[in-house]
Amino acid sequence: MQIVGSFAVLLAFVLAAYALLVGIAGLSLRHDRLVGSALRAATAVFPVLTVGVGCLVALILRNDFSLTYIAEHSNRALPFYYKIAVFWSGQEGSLLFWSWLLAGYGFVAILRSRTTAPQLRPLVGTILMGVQVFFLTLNNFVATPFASLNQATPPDGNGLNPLLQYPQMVIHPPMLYMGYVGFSVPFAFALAALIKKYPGDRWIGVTRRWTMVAWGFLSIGIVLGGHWAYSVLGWGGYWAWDPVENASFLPWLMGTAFLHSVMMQEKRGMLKVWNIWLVFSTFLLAIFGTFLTRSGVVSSVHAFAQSSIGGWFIGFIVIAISVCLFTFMKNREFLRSEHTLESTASRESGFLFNNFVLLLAAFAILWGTLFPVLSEWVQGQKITVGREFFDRIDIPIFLFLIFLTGVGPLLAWRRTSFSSLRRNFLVPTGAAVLTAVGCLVGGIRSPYPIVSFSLVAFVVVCIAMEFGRGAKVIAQRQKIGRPRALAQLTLRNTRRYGGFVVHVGIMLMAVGITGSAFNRDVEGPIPYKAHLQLGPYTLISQANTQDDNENYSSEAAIIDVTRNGRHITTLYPSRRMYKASQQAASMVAIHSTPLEDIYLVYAGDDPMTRQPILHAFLNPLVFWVWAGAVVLVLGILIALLPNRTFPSRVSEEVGRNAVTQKAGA
Amino acid sequence: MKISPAWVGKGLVLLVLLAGVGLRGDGPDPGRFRRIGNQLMCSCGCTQGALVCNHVGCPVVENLRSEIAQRVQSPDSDALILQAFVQEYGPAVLAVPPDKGFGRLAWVTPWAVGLLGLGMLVVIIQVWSKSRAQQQALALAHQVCPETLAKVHADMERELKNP
Repeated sequence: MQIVGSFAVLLAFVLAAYALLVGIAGLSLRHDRLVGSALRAATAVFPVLTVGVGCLVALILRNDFSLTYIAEHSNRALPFYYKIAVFWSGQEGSLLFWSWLLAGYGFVAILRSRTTAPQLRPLVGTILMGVQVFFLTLNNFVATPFASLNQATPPDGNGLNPLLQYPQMVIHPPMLYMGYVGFSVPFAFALAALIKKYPGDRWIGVTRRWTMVAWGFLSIGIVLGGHWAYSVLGWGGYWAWDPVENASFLPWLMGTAFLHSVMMQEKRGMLKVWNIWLVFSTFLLAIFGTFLTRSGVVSSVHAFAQSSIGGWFIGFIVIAISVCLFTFMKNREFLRSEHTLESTASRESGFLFNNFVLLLAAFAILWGTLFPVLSEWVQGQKITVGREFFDRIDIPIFLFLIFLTGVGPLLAWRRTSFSSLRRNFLVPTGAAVLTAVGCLVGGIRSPYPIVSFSLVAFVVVCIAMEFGRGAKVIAQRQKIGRPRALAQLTLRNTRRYGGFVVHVGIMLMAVGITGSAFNRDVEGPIPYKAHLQLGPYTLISQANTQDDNENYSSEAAIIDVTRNGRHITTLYPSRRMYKASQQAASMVAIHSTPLEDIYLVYAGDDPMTRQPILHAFLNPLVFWVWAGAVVLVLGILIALLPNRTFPSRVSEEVGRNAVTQKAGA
Repeated sequence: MKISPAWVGKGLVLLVLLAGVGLRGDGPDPGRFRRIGNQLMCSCGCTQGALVCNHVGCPVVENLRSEIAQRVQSPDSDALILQAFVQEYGPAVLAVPPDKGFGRLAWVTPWAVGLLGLGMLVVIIQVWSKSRAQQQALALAHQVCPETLAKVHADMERELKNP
C-alpha cells in the first residue's frame, strides 16, 4: 500500500506537469487536441491523488509505524477520528492534503467552467496545474509522507500532539485549508481572464462565486480555530494575534475587500485593476499563510510543523508575483474603467472607504506579524509584537469598519441626496446614541465598549430598516404577511440580503468580542471543600478524581458553581498526561450562557503545598461570537442561492381567471 | 414627526465625538498587576503573554508572575518597573515594541500608511469627480452621438437586469 500510495502521488505529479506543459504548448500553438489532452490530464489528477490519499489514511488506520510520518504523529491507542486527523497534523501530510484539495477544486472548476466560462477553461486548468505542480513537487521530492523509517519498526508511534486531540481539530484544519486552497480557483479565473482579455462581466461573476465559497470555508475555519484555542489552550481567550492566526486572517480580509469591491465592477464597470490585484493578493496571502505555518519563520503556538521548506514557498511566491506583474503590465489596457465616480456621497465611495479600511487592517496585521523578523534582521535583536500592539492598532480600524458596514448599504449608487441621508440615518443614529447613553447609565465607563456597542446598534438598526422597508413593500403589493414577505424579499435578491445576514453575524461577533473588555479571572489553590469567588459566583471544590485509559491518564477537579447559594452547574476541569508523547495538556471546563462563560482551568498542583490550583475566568458575551459565526454561515449560504422570482398576486389572479374562463367555455 | 437636518447633524456629531473619545482611550484599566502583566511576555519560548502562558510546569512564568506581583507593590512608576524587567530578561520580554528607537517604527508605520492611503483616496475621488464633471460639460456642449446613446442604453439594460 505504501508503494501504491507513493506511486499514485508521483503519477499525479507527472499528470499535473503534463497538463501544465502541454496546456501551455496547446494554448500557444492554438492546437485544440493538445489543449483537450492537457485538460483531461488535469482532470485525472484528482482521482489519482485520491488513491494516494486513501493509501496514506489506510496506512494510518492500520498503525503502519514503518512509515516515518505515521510513527511520528500517530499511536495505537489514538481514537479513530483523531487518526483521520493525523493525515493533516504533520508537515508532509498537510502538504499532501493541500494538493488533494487543490486537485478536487480543480476537478470541479474544470468541469463546471464547461458551461460557465468555456473560453477560459483551458487556461484555468493550466494555471491550476501550475500551482499543483509546485505542491506535488513538495509531496514527491521534499516532504513525502510515504518515506520509510531508517530503523526497525517501533511497536508504537509517538502519538498526536495533545493540543490537536480535540474534536474541532478534525474539522478546523480541513475548513481552513478549503478556504486557503479555494482561493486558487478565483486566482486562476482572474489570471486567465487577464491573459485572454476575456470580455464582459461573466468572468468576474464566476470569480466572485468561487471567492465566496473559499471565503465561507475560511470563515468557518477561523472561527473553529478560535473555538479550539478557547477550549484547549486554556488562557481564557479565543484570539491572541498569534502569527499563524494572523496568517489566516490576512486572506480573509483581502477576500472580504474583493467581495465588496467586485460589486463596483459588476454594477458600474469600475475598479477593474483594483479587483484583479485583490484576487491576486488574496491567493498570494493564502500561500504566504501556509508558508508561515509550515516554515517556522515566526514563532507561534500553532506552528505544529517547522522545517526548512520556507525557501520553496518563497520561490513559488516570487514566481507567482512575477507572472501576475508581467501579465498585468502586458494587458492592463483591458482593465480600463468604464465609469468614474459621480459623487462623494455614493455607494461607490462607501466601497472605496470600506476597501481602504480593510486593506489598512490587513497591512497593520502583516506589519505587526513580520516586525519581529524585520527587527532581528535590521538590529540583530528581536522585538516582540504581542496582543497589546494589535489591540491598540486594529481596534480603532475595526470600529471604523463597523461604522462603514452600516453606512455603505444605505448609500445609493452614483449619488445620495441629503434628504435621503437624513431619512436613512436618523433612526440608526438615534439607536446608537441611545445605546451609548444606556451603556453609561449601566455603569460602563470604558470608551471602547461604549463606541463598539453603539456602532453595532447603528448597523443592526440600519439592516433591520432595510429588511423592514423591503418586506413592507412586498407585503402590500402581494397582500401577504410580513414573515412571508421577508422570506420572499431575501430569496428575490439572495446576494444582497444574504450579505446583510452576514453583516448581522459579524455584528453579533463584534458584541461577543467587545465583551472581552469585561473579562475577569481569579487563580488560587482549591483543596477539598475550599471556596473561590469569581465575580458573583462561588466555586466549591467537591473532590478530585483520577482516570486512566490507553491513550492518557488524567486528573480532574469536581467544582460546584453556585450563585447566592443556588447551584448553577458542576464543572470538571482536568489535566491529561498523554502516554505516547509524554506530554501534558489542560482540558478546560466551560459553562456557557448568552450572558457569560464560566471558564475553569485545572492548572495542576502547587509544587510547594501539593494543593490543586484552579484558574477561573468569567468571560462575558463569548456566546455571541459563536452565535454570530452561525449567522454568518447562514448568510453565506443564502448569498450563494440563486435568485428566485415570485409571481405577483395580480398575475396569479389573472392566471386563475383565465383558467376558470377556459374551463367555463 | 418632522425632524430638522440640524438634529440629524447633532446626532452624528455626538456619535463621532463619542467615537473620538473611544479612539483616544487606552481601554479599561484592569488593575496594575494586569496592566503590567499584559505588557510582558513569557520567555519560555511559547510566545504567549506573561499572564496567558499556561504551560504545565512552565519554568519561567510562575517566577515572572510572582515578580510582577512583588514589583507592583513598589512606588515605582510602570515605566520603571518595565525597565527593570527589560534589564533582567532582555528587550524580548516586552509584549509590545518600545516607543523609542527602531521600536517606534512599529507604532508609526500603520498610521503613516493609513494617512498616506487616505490622502491618495481623497485625491482619487477628486480626480474622478473632476473628470466626471468635464465629461458632463462636454456632453452638454455636443450633441449626444449614437455610440454614446447605445452605450447608455446598454448600461441601463444591464442595471435593470441586475437591480
